Amino acid sequence: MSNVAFALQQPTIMDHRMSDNQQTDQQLVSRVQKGDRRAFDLLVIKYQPKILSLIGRFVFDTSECQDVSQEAFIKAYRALPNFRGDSQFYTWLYRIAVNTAKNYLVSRGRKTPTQGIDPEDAEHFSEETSFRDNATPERILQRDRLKEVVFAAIAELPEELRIAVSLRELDGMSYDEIAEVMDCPIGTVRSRIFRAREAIEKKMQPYLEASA
Amino acid sequence: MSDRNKESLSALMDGEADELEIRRVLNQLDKDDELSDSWKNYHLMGSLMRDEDFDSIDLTPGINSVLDGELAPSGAVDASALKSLEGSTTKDKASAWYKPLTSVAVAASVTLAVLLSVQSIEPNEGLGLADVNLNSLQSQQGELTTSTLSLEEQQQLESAQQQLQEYVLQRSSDVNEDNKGVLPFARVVEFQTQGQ
Repeated sequence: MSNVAFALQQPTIMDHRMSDNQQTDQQLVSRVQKGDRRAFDLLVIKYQPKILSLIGRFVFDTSECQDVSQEAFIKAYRALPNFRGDSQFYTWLYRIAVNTAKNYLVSRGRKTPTQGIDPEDAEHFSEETSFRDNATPERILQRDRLKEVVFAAIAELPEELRIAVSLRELDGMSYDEIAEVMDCPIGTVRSRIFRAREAIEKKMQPYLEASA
Repeated sequence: MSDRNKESLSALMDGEADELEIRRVLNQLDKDDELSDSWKNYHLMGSLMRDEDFDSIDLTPGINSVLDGELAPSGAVDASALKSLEGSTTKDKASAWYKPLTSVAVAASVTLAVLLSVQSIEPNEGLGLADVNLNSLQSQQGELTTSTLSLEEQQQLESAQQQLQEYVLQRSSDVNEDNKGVLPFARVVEFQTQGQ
C-alpha cells in the first residue's frame, strides 16, 4: 500500500472529533428520549452558537435570529422522540434550523437565500469559515480578546496539562490515544484534561463576567 | 460544586463518560447552575482554540419557558408522569383490570346467547323452534346492565344484540326459502334491559 493510500485510511482530526461528538450527542439524545430534559439543555448550550450563526446568515436582525433559533430548538425537542440516529444529531438539527428559517422568511414575505442553506451542507457546515459572515465588529473583537485570554491561559499551564488538552482539542485525539502518546493511564489523561480546562476557565471568568 | 461532577462533565464533552456518570451529572444540573456554566465555558474554550465561531447568547431560558408549558416528548417517560402513576389509587388500579374483564363478560354473554339459541333447537320439528330461555338471558342481561356497565359498554352490548338479531332473522329467512340450514328457525329474542 502506498503512503498516500495509507494516510488516506488513517482517521483525520475531524473524524476523531466528529466521532466523539457523535458519541456525546447520542448519549444526551438517548437521555432526552427517556424524558430527561436537562440533557436537552446541554445539547442546546453545545449547539446554540452554531445554530445562531447558521440562522444569522439569512435572518439578519439579531432579535429575530434568536427567536428563529429558539423555535428551531423547540421543534427539535418535539421531534426528538422520532430521531433514530440514522444521521448525526447535528446534521438533523441543522436541517430543522434551515427549514425553520426558510419558513420564517416565507411567512414574512421575504425572499429565502438561494445559496448556503442547503440542508445537505450540514456535514460540512461546522468546518466552514464562511459562517462568520454575520459577525459584527463587536463580536469579532470580543472573540479575539477572549481567544487571547484562552491561549495565554494555556501557555501558563504545566506541560503535561498543556499537552493533554492540546492533543484533545486541537488534534482531536481520544483519551486512549493521548494515553498512548503521553505514556500514562487513561484516568490520568482524563484528570489532566479536566484540570487544564478548569485552569483555563478560571482565567476566562473575569473576562466573561465583565462582558456579560 | 464538586470536582468529580465537573470532571465527569469534561469527560462527557469528549464522549468519554459512562452512563452512570451522565446520570449523576444530569441530576446535579438542577442543583448546580455552575455546572451548566462550565459546560458552556468548556465548549467555548474549545471553539476558540480551534478558531470556531461562538456566541454568548443563551437560548436555554427562553426554550425552557416554552417547553415548561408542554408535555414531555411522546414516548418519553417523564419523571412526573411516573410519580403520578406511582401515586395512583387502588381504585384506579382496580379499574385498569376491571375494564377488560367487563368487555369479556359482554362478549361471553353474547356468545352464550348464540349457543343457547343453537342448542335449544328441536331437531324433530320440521321448522324447528329455538326456545331460548328468555328469563335466564334477561337475568344475565340484568346483571350486566346494573351499575357495573358504563354507558359505552351498554352501547356495545346493544350493538352486539342488534347484530345477533339481524343474523338470526337472516338465517331464518334463508331457511324458510330452502329449508336446509343448520338453524332452521329461531325465535328472535328481544333483550330487555332490566327496569324497562
